[in-house]
Amino acid sequence: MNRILGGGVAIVAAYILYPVIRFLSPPSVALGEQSKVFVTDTGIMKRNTAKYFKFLDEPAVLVRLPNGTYTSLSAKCTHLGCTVQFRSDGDYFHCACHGSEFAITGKVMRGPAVLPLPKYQVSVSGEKIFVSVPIEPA
Amino acid sequence: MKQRLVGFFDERMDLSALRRWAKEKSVPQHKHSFWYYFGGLALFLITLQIITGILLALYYSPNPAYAHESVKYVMETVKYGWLIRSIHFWGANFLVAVVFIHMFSTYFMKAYRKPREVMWILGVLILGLVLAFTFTGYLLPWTTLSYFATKVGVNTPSIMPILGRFITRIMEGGRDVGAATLTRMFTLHTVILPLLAVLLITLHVLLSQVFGSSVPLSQANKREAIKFFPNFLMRDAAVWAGGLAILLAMVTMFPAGLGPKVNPVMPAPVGIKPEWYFLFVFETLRRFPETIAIGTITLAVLVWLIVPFLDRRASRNQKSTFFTLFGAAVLVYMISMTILAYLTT
Amino acid sequence: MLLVIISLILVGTSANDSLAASIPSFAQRFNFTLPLIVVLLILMFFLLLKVYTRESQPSRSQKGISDSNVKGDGSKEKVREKV
Repeated sequence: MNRILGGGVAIVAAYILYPVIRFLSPPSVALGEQSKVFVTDTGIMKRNTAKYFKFLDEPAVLVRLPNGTYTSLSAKCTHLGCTVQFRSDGDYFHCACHGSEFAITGKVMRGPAVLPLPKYQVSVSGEKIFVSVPIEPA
Repeated sequence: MKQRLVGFFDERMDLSALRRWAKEKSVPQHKHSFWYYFGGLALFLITLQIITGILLALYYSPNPAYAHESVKYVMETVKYGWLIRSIHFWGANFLVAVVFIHMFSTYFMKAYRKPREVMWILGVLILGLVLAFTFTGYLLPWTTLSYFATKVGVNTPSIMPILGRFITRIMEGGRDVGAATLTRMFTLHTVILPLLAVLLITLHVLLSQVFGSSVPLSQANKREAIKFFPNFLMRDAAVWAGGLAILLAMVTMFPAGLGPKVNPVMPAPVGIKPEWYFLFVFETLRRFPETIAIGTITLAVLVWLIVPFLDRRASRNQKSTFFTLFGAAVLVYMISMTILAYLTT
Repeated sequence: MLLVIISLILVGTSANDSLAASIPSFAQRFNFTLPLIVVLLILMFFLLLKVYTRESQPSRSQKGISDSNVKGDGSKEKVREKV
């Protein structure tokens, strides 16, 4: 008898709790539609500068290297999520929150971060620069 | 008139228990009695936070487009807005300090020993709530500093296996800290945490009425006590008056500032660091890999929470030097990491 | 009391406001809070004075406390039973 009552209460509780938890977790955004974004026109960015933009709902950075080519990475520090700063004095990224440093390739130069910054694909079509997720990880 | 009023309620509510309580309640007097005042002071500051918090909520707008502007409006345009917000700001800082002092003093006096184990656990949980209040309230002005502090805060659980990512997502409400995070922090700060705080603080204070103040073992032979009503209450009130005077002095000298509004796309500015009470966590995160740092802190908090059950000697009213040293080590670590964070940033 | 007020004036006059001039100046803030601070400190003083005068004379309120005094181990009931 008690077991039936207890079981019934548990079912009701679970039935209420499940939608609440689903309600709390944000609906996922379809990434497919925004997996390629326009960032800027060619010839606008000077060499050795960076431009920040939103990509996949997270901060990303496009860097024009001293040799004139472009590279793009996620700007979200892999340590605890602060936005990393591009340092033109040595072509690297510095995170002001806990002092992690990343090379221009995304590789960790100084901790506490362990994982590298994810690299994105840069494509130039005409005079427009697009950034997209690489189909195969670089 | 007063007699009739009391009589009216006495007949309907039976105030005799309350009268007996007021007559009998006493507070032990010994050379460590000084520390008893911090509990009452914390209660006083919490009341102040509730009042000023309600007032601020009347003008605040939890939306990234208006949050910073609404706080600016309170500071610059609303009459005495600077006063109300500065009291809330300084009150929070004072409250954190007072609650920490209250906790460490009860720890070193071993006030957690039987029968006050539940009271201790409630107290540690209340400290957690106070820190949660400061964390959730921090994002609300939507400044650069508050934005990145929140980023670090919500990303910290994500290093925990299995549930970590889920907790971060629930706190963020999206893929990154943004509009959804702001409404979540606002709801936590103004609805969920206050409800929890009222519940836990009521239980904590109720238990302190049941058991009275704990006397440290070294003073157990002292039988002196003063009546709570009115003697100790008057002393309490004197402390509150003094505390409020110092609070107002700080408010006048250093009114709460308001940093620049955040541009979420731009990188974190150089030299940002958290408020003083989170500096030891900050320094730990900078010096150690995050899994070790957070793992160790989590473990220490858990030990801290159940210390009444670990410290068996204190429960038998014996000296427990090991736990005194453990507490001292924790305190020394926190203080030295805080100083280190000040020196190196 | 004096110390608080003096330090207030010293720090306040030397500190330049970190916020823009858009909030009331130090003098304006000071004019508002100082009277309250003084009243609070006087209140504190008289509360302590009252406590002191009450506790320095052994009054009837001091008696009968030991029987309700709670010991560290929570042996309140036991003590009362004996009484």
